[in-house]
Amino acid sequence: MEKLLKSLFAIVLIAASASSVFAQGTLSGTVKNGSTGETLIGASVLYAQGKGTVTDIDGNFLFKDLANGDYTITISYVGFKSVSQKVKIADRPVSLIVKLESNEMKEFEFIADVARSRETPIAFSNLNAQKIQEEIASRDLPMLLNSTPGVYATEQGGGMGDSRINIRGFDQRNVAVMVDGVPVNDMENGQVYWSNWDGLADITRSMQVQRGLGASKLAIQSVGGTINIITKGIEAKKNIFVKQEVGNNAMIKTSAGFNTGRLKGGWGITGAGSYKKGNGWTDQTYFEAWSYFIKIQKQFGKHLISLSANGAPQVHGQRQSRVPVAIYSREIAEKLGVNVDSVLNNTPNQASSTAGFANYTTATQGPRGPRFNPGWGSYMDENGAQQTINPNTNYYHKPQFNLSHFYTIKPKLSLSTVAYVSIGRGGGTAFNSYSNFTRDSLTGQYDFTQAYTNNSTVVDPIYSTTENKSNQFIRASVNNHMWYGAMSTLDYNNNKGFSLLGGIDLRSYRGSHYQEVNDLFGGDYVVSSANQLAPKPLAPGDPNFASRMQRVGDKVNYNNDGFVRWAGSFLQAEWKKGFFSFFVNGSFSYTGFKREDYFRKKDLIIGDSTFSEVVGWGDTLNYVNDGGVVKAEVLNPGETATFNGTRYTADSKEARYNTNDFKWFPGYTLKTGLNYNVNEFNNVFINAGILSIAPRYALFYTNTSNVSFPDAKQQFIYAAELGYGYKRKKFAANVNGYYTYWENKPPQSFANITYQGDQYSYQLQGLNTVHTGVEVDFTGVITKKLEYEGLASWGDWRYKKGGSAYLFDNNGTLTDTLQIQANNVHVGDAAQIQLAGGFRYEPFKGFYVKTRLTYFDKNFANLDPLTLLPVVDGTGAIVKDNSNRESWRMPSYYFIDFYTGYNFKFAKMNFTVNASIINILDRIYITDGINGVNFDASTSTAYISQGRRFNLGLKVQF
Amino acid sequence: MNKLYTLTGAFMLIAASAFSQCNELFISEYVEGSGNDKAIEIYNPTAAPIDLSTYSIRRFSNGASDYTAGGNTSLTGTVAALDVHIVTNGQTVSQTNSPAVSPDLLLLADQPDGAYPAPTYMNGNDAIGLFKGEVMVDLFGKIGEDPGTAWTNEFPYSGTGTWITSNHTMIRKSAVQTGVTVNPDFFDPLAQYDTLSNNTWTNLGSHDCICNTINSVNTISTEAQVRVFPNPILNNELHISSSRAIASISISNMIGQTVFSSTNSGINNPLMKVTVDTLPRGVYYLQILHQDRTSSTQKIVIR
Repeated sequence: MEKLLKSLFAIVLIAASASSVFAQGTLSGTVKNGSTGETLIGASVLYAQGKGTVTDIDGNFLFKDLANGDYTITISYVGFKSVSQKVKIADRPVSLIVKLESNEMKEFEFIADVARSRETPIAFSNLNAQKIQEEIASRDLPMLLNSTPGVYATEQGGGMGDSRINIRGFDQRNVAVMVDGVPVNDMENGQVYWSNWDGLADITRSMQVQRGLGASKLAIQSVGGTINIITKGIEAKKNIFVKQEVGNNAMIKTSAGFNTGRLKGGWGITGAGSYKKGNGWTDQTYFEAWSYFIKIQKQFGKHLISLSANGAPQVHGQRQSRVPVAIYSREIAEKLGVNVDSVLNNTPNQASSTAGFANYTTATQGPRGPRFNPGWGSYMDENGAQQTINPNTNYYHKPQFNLSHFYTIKPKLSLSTVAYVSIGRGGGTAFNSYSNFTRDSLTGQYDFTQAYTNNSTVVDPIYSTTENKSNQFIRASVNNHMWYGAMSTLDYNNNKGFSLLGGIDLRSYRGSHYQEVNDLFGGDYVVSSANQLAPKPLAPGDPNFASRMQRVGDKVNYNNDGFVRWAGSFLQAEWKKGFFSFFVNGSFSYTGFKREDYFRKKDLIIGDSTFSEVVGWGDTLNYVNDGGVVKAEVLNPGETATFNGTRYTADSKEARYNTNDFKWFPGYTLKTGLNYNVNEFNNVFINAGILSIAPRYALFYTNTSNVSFPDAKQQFIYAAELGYGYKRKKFAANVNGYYTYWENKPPQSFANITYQGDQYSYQLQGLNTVHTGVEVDFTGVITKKLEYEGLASWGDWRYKKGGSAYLFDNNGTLTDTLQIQANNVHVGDAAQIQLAGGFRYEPFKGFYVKTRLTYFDKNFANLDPLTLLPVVDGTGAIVKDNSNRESWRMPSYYFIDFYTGYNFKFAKMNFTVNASIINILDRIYITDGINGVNFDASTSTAYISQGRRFNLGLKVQF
Repeated sequence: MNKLYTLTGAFMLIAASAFSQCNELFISEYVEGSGNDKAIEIYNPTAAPIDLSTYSIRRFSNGASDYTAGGNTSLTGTVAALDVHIVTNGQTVSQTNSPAVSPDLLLLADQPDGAYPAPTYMNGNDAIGLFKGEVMVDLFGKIGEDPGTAWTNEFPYSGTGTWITSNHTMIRKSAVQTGVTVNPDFFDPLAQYDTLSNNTWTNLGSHDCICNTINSVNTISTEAQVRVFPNPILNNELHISSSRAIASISISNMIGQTVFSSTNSGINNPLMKVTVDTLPRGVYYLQILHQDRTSSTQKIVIR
């Protein structure tokens, strides 16, 4: 029992039921690589000291005529950790499947806090490399996780890498993602942009989803859960592979990789790369992406050093606009009780062609279908040729470099350290303004011709008499970053079941946010005066007019940097004794924010006085310290001092870019858990924790101002979980129940809204939520060839009481505070009911057929806080009180995915042919809704799913 | 003496420019209020009524050099001499992100504007042109320039400074006698306009302009000269003065029903005071019956 507990591995025992007349039995089995699922050839299998065999070419072993009795089978293989297993031979054949874990993996798992079955008292699911390779079908990694309980992932608009994941009702920003133990959630807003991680699926050795507070030692924001991704390292076998895939909508993907195996001197190198390109199922969601990965490892003595680099430069077209269901599909909308013709016709009188859905379609033309992407359009260029453009693109490259060091100081003491650098470069593009665009009445797409013609013909003599002035141009919202971090953990293990570990986690992040001219769309320059430090024209004919003329690459609109510093420490103790394992973890973090603006007027620091945003270009500050009373006055260009003082300008050494001091926030976590293995088959666990989380940078500052939001509150999360596990030879199941109370749940930074006809950004504060739920998952085998799995998850996620919505105008000034009531309103944006089931059939060796059905229900549209405000008439009387009103409940949906493949050897090479059909029934369903004014399908907006898609692959490994 | 000299100078200027001043419609008021509370007032500075059927207002939205996105509204009806024609936003049903125009403002309209994108969906950074046929007779703003949120008070009146052309009511200065017919290099919003605070509509309905004097001097009217003040009526009290003796008055609503009438006190009295505290807010027609049996009709606003 204890050995089982200590082992790292899942062992599946399969016993044949045939009886035997002999007082002896046979023991057979297969040895596999636990992460790839490949069989291991030549592994040593001993049933007694010096007695045993090695596995054959298929990884099988067989002992005939073993006398009845108890045996300890020890399986070992170079590069893998050996495993011992007790077996009772009593008159009947026993068959074992043993999965070995790579030695090298242990260190990464250690950093990454990988949970272990029947030991770590948390709820989790594992996906190994085999499952990922069989099911990924060139999609984003989160889409695979829909097959684990409590997870809700969608592809949103359908652009490559635009997927998002939600665990137990908590969105991506509250799901910590760790790649080889290194946190990757954006330091400012917590997001993970999966398009930055294209190619990660090819190099993933294993992926674990921990739900709830998770097993992480760090003070990370795993409210919903934690996704641990471990990349491939040096395998025992050297190999080279090439893989070619083709898919729907002209998708092609070529990938290749190599692994040197363990070279002399303890060296090992592994590398992989890929290129893919396609048009996307949704209109104009084309993509082109490269990926690369290289990891170099060297072992010497007690040290293992690993250096890795990966990145995925990419560009992809996006669908960014949600629209009412009626605009996609008459059939679906009518099922939901929508008067489709009324929605389609009731659009022309909108105050803004982007806020409304004017001319997307008409009742006579009917809905546009699920591929409709309202963001793109066409125009006639100067040669009279029709051109098509999707202004909504995302381009990014975020190379990440990790340097890891594992040091076994003494058998009981080890130190592991990882230092990393992440360099993000890129952003998203869109037109600077959409308000002048009309739509083609036949297609519903934008007609950009007028803008293009204007741009290429208009001359504004105050700027230039020869060049053309662009009015509507494409700008890129750039979000670059430079992120350094280091983590170090010291681990003491007395080898008697007690371990103590502690460490530090340091991060420094600088994000650069600005917009730049990306495409002048026919003209030669645009006029922008956002930079208050640039020379300003003061009179007609002033040469400073040139400083307002911006060309491709010039910064416009805003330009600022965000600084985030993070210092964390943690301490964790674990005991394993008999049937119990117990842990207690405490962590503390200190987060600091600062923002610096390069477009606003500069600050002046004179003595002890700070004058904020006082001197722009040409401004002078006249300063007098009059007996301790500071007087300062900004003089405009040409003005003379009105009283005798010292004069300062933006060029004075006392001037600095407009900024403020770091604001520091403490945060902490306290977690504890206990697992009890009732017997060989049953275990129960319990865990509980408190998280205190500092507000995020993105909740503090808008893009336009350093005036921080004063009321951002500390978040508190209280969570508890109860679990039960059952593990038999042919059937294993887990049941978990959880309760999470979240005080001051923040919204997604500053979302944009229209309130009483004007544009605002808003912040929500003071909303509390309670998430409770139950999750069940199981796997089993019917015969050796037929495996099945299933899951069910039921959640009850609700807001408690209300909160305040703070409205900011486009200067970043707080203009209004609205009280909203949302008591017992369901948390939207994720399905609260999930059912899935599937099977994998392997009729003969190497060939598999696999299918899975996934069903989601109780999916509410995301809360739009303004819809909860009372509707008033012209006199201020309340017409309809929407307090505590439930958001639109979106229809349930299901889809079926199908996978098949065949592995075979030919000419000493391994071939894998595989085919995947995603959404084989071509189901069209609604996702990612945002609540509308009438709380129904007519007024709410949403994305729509992609239809049936396919992916074919051929992999050659030698 | 000095004063006389100035006056003489003014008359000489008027005489010199008699053929180009006070002889064509121009924009007299611009209301850029909250939500869709927007209006444009057009003033007839001439001594004769003008048929509006050849005129239109066009919006050049967000720096566009054409009015496809901003909309075009053909004017209807006739505007009397020295009177104004008010076009307000015409949206009566609130929609997502786009509230209805205030009923109070709509009541003042001579012509409610059409559906989006009509000119009175302007939001501060749109140029508004008044056209006769294809000839621009007046322009507010600068075509082809997007000043950001609004034109400002600071040279070059875009980008930096205090926003003037958004969330304000702007009234053409009384000295202005003619429209802007050429797209300017710079649009200084305060050069020809005074500003009033946001959502102020009290000055809609008439325009104080030097042309009133110029053209009334030159006009020999057979009608009585009637003044009604204050208009709009704020404290339920209405004072009427006329060049002839007033016999009685009657007030009718917009659909022609007589809702109030009163007889004047005394004989040969050219003044009359009326208390109208029974009438709800709105726009009415005031008919004045003189002792010589002639009558005059004026539009009044009660608030």
